[in-house]
Amino acid sequence: MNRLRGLLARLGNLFHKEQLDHDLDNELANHLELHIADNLRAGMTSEQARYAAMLKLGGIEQTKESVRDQRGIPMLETFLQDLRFGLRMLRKSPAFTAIAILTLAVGIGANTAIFSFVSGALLRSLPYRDANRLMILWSSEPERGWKKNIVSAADFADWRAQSKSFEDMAGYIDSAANLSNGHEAMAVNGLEVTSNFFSVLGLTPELGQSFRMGDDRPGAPKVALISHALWVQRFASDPAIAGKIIQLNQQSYTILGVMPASFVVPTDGESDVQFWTPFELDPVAPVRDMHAIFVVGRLAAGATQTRAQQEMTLIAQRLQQQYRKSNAGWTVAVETLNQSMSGNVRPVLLILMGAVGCVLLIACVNVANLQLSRGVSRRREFAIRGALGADRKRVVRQLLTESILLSFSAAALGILLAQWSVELVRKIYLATDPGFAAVRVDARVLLFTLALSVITAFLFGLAPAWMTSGVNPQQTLKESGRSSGASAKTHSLRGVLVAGECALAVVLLVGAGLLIRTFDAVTRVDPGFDPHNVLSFHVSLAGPRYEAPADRAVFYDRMVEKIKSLPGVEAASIVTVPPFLGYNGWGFITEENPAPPPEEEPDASYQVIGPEYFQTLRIPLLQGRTFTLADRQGSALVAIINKTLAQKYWPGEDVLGKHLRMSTAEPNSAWMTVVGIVGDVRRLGLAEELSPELYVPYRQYPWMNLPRSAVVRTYANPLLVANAIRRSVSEIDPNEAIDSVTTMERVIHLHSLNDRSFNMVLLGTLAGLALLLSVVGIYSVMSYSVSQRTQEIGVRLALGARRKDVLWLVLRIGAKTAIIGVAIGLFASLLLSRLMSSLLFKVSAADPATFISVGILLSAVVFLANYIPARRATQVDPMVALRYE
Amino acid sequence: MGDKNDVWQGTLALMVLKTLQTLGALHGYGIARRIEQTSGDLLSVNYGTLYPALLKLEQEGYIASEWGVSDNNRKAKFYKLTRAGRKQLEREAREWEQTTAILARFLSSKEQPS
Repeated sequence: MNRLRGLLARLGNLFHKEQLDHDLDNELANHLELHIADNLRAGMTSEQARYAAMLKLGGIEQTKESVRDQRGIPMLETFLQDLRFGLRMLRKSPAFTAIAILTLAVGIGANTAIFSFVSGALLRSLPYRDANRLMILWSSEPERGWKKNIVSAADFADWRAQSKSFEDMAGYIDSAANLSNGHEAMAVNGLEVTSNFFSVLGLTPELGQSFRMGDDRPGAPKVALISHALWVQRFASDPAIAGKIIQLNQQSYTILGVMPASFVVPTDGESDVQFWTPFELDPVAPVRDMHAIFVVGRLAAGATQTRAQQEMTLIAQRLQQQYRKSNAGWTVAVETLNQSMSGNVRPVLLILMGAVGCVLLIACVNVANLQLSRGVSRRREFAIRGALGADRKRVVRQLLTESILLSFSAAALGILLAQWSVELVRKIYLATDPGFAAVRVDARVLLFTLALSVITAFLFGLAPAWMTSGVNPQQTLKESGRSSGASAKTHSLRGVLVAGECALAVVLLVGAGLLIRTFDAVTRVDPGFDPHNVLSFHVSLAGPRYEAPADRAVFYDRMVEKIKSLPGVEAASIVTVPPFLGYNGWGFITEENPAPPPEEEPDASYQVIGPEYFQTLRIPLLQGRTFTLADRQGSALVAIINKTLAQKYWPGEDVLGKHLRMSTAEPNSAWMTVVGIVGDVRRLGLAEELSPELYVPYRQYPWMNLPRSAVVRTYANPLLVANAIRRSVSEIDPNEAIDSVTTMERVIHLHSLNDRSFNMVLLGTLAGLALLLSVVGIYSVMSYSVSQRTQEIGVRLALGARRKDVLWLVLRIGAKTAIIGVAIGLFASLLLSRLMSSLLFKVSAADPATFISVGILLSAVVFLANYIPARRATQVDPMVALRYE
Repeated sequence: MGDKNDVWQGTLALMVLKTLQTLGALHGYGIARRIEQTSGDLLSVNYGTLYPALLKLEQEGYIASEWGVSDNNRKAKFYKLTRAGRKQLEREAREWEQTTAILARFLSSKEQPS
């Protein structure tokens, strides 16, 4: 207690030193005076009295010094002293200070910016209780490339019943509905969830109550939870909302409560959910061969992800044996929520983090080089300090304090830069990717920057400090005035630094080069259809009114007819899922091979379409015919397939007239006849493999999947007809609303180009920064070392050396360093670029074109950075050079 | 400063506290003289070492100081005991007595060869 008090008092004393010194002087003077007076009284002469008093006190200065030590905190005071001195030194050479701070600010700023993405995406905190105990469970069939598939209701029920590593599991399905409550119908997104969904997540409603056990049984009264946003927007934040009724797809649901705005879907972090309803899990005969459910589980106490994965694999193996037809090949993948949400961005962000680390290293190298040069000119200062008794540690500490000053100032500037650039990127991408909302320079990011700037200070400060502090005072002071050249040691350190800088720049440039080549390759891919002037939208047709396929078909007939009559519309069709917006895969069998083993069963993207679909998207018909209005219920079942399907299952045969049937269809039901072959369409993205695709006409009410989208080709900007379409739909049925209105061009951009352009632009910017910084660094090192050798060059020229030879002499050293650096960089890139192969498309990680051009580019740039100072050196007049100091 | 000094500092602090208890407010020189006299001039140290000790006691709140006028009519800094200082003095004096008692007993015990 009293000790702490003492420490606080000492801390306080740091701030009014002068007053305290003055008091101490007075006190000691008074002490001496009293003592002298006593001594005089004892009969000493005044000189003796003074002398004896001084002797007894033991030295005024020593006393003062020990009182001062007791007064403050010596270590802190040394630091403050160093700080003041450092500030003075930095002010004295403003050019050095400005360049160093600017260089470091770029490095630290870039790191801060990228880390705020990492922090926002990978380290994001989720609104659930103990979110790190929550796992997403996927059905997985790695052999066929379905690593993360949704789960069948039967598998879900079995997992839930059999697993011990999970406290509980909940399931959910995306759903959409038309909300009509006296207002105009509104399309809303929702989730159908098991009744334990929110208790598994550990999320409670902000108003009212959550689902109760049994709410998900068939026949239970219809209840719903609504989102905070919907509550505010549509129900004017009614505090008595619980118990009220809403109409979803013309069915009445009792509102139980309001969920907080913090809710995000566990799988992908999506926050655009407006309502939740319990889903009806059929307990008697859950479907086993239709995968439909997302599953989230909470680990039981003591269980780990690894243990859970092991147990689930065993359960899956048991199910494989038990249900061979549906479960052959299927296993389970268990991943954390963070893994699930950041699945796509994780590799990108880690690569960017590495890249930005390289930029900072280059910045450190540059500043370290500057420090070295400055250290040479400060040798006398260190020698004098050494002569006055400062040991090497003390000098190193002084220099490191200066480094910390530099790096903290740079961090302050860097944070501003980061804030600005993060805002910029957020503005550009937020519209297309809501994940960017979580990206900001927050406390965690600032903490990271603080730690980083301390590390940075040591990185660029320690080696130069150690090197320049090791001066021999005698020798240096004797050399008085002569600017002696740097020692061999600092020379070789510089060489290493420059070579390292080249290598780092090469690595970044290769990475950026590969991404640029990838982007180029992706934009060259033909999507297989003409996306220009095509509108796509979503119409849900959910609810009891459209349960009968015939009712749905009538709606589609009328809708397409109405849309086609709108001015500016060329063609229109409904479709299950337009290209790039999803995959709807189903197994089928062919007449030739009606009973394949389950793991070899053919499958294709299954699209239910209208007669004008191919015309609307301008997908070429290669053989046979398209659908007509005559392909209706009662007529012979027909199908159109794409080229890939034809080649895969009937290679080299005449495909028209072949027969196939969905594998879920009743045995002995009618075959579908192939009537046409169309060109391939990229179903899942520009960079994805072509997949087999199967088209059937909606008027034959083809089995369960109902199409929920439509595509419209227009003569001009397709968004101009969007409102007219909206009106047409509500004329047919005022309870229906369209949503997800977008153009196919935009879909392609968002789906296949947006992320890639983000990666490319970011890594490209970093590589550009790296190149710039390293060129500046190499140039300044070369200029410096040439200027150090001016005198030597003068001597050579005076003795008759040809300028060409001298030029070569100077260039040779720089060239050697650069070549070594570039070679190391290329080699390192060869090893590292493999890490980014998941981001590449049609470009090998060891793409020779990229490697060669980066090698040439960097060599050329480094050559120039060497050549300019070297040439300047040979231009000097020998007489001037000889006198040069 | 070494270990010896720490021991000295500890006992010096006790002497200072005791002196101030006996004599009331006193300036540094007075404290030094008093300690020297009380010890019968057996104890002879530099007066300078007194000042860091005074500062430390003051920082810990055992003594307080204020400026006053000394015998020679000059401004001088006077130290006096605080309430915490009085308690600390009692505590330390007790501990010191215990220590010396133990040591005394220890040193006076005669060796008894078996």
